[in-house]
Amino acid sequence: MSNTDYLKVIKKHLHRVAPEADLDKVKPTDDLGAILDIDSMDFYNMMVGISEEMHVDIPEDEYGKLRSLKAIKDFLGNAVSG
Amino acid sequence: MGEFKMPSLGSQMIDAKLTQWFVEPGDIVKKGDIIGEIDTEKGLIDIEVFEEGTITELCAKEGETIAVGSVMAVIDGQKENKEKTKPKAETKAKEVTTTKKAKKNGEQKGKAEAKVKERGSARPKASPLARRVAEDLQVDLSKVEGSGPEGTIHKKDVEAFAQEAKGEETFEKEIEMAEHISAEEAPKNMRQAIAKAMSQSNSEIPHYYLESEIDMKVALDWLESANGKRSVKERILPPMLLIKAVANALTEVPELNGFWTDEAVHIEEGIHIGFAISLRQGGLVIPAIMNADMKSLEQIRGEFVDMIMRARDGHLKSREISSATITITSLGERGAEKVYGVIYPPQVALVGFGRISHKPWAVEETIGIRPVMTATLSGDHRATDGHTGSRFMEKLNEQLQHPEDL
Repeated sequence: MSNTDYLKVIKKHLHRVAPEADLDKVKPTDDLGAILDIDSMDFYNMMVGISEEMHVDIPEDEYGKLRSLKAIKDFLGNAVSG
Repeated sequence: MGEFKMPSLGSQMIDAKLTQWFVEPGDIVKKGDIIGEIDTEKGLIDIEVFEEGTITELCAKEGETIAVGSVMAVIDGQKENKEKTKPKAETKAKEVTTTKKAKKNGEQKGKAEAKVKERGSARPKASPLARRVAEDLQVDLSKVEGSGPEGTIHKKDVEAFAQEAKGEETFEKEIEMAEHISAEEAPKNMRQAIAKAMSQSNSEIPHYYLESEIDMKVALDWLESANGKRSVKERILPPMLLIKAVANALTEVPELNGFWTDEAVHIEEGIHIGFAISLRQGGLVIPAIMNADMKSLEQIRGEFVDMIMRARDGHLKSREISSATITITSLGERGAEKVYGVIYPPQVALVGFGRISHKPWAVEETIGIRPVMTATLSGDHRATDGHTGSRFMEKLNEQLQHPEDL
């Protein structure tokens, strides 16, 4: 999968929890929770969705760091290829 | 012959408009069938029938506004008639369902409680704790076999009985009605419903407020280590701990768990924790985790996740939004530091949790940096005093210092 594909998956699940948000305006390093007003439960739901679709588990020490599009995309890149 | 009545979905609800019938006279329905749709302050709600039989009459017309408790349809429940002729001591599962129905049908909680109490009046030998647990789980004590001396019933006997009676079914599956909150319709009406409840609260309830800072280091460390062994899906999040901690603290200070009705406080036996969930389209819903003190953290975790999903998708059940005995509002990780909440009447207390932030904190003889959370209690001064509230805050803190016991 390419970076674009990862982003597609992430945005799909972001859209599910924040359907009204314009995701094209989100910059790669923006804190998703802050910029889209996503609370911890929605964030959790999004991460569960991504984790299930990509068949990757997200370790506890990574979970807290995955706050931006870039961070999640990079994590997926490593987790899927590794 | 059964009557299907307009359900009550909260103390503020007076009536609702029937928008559509999905059935006609002569149709055969079974438990769980959606027979119509009503328009309420909480949006469009699918109404489910909770008995089997044939629809003989539709008393309410489409477009008509119907008062809560008014008969909407008549159902000839042949199966129900048969059941009535059976001796009372049926199967255990039946017993639980019947009690639930009695509770639901009781228009006021008081009445329902009275029914439950009557049931226990055969006075089988049981410990006080067992009695309380039996009421919470709606178990008929006379059917429980006690393991103690002279057949005395203990808590574990009641729990084992309830577990068996429940079988694979969860409490929620026994609920007679489910509602469907339409996301598009909700905001305006919901705002009005919130306005009504909160205005009533502010004009009628003399609030008092207490606040305590709670050192969350132990709790957060425990969460981190617990989550280290779990998959993403099974993560325990702070709100789940808070719900359990509040429920446990209430077992020690039950005065805050109840309702103010008819100029008196009525302490509820069941601890049903309402959790305020804000909706993206505006407004909030407060579904409750029933009997949270009796449930394990793991059970609460599962129910909480499921409840949040349904709150946002619009599939909450009527019982969940009308049963809370106390409310928690938690501002989450980016919220303000403190919240002084408005009590949701007729409840008598609301617990607020602010954001967890790092602060200098006295640790033994030195100063350390600790994750600290401010917990607040809004109490109804008619029902309790600051002294009781303080005891609760102390117990809550104790609970959060021992997360492994939650």
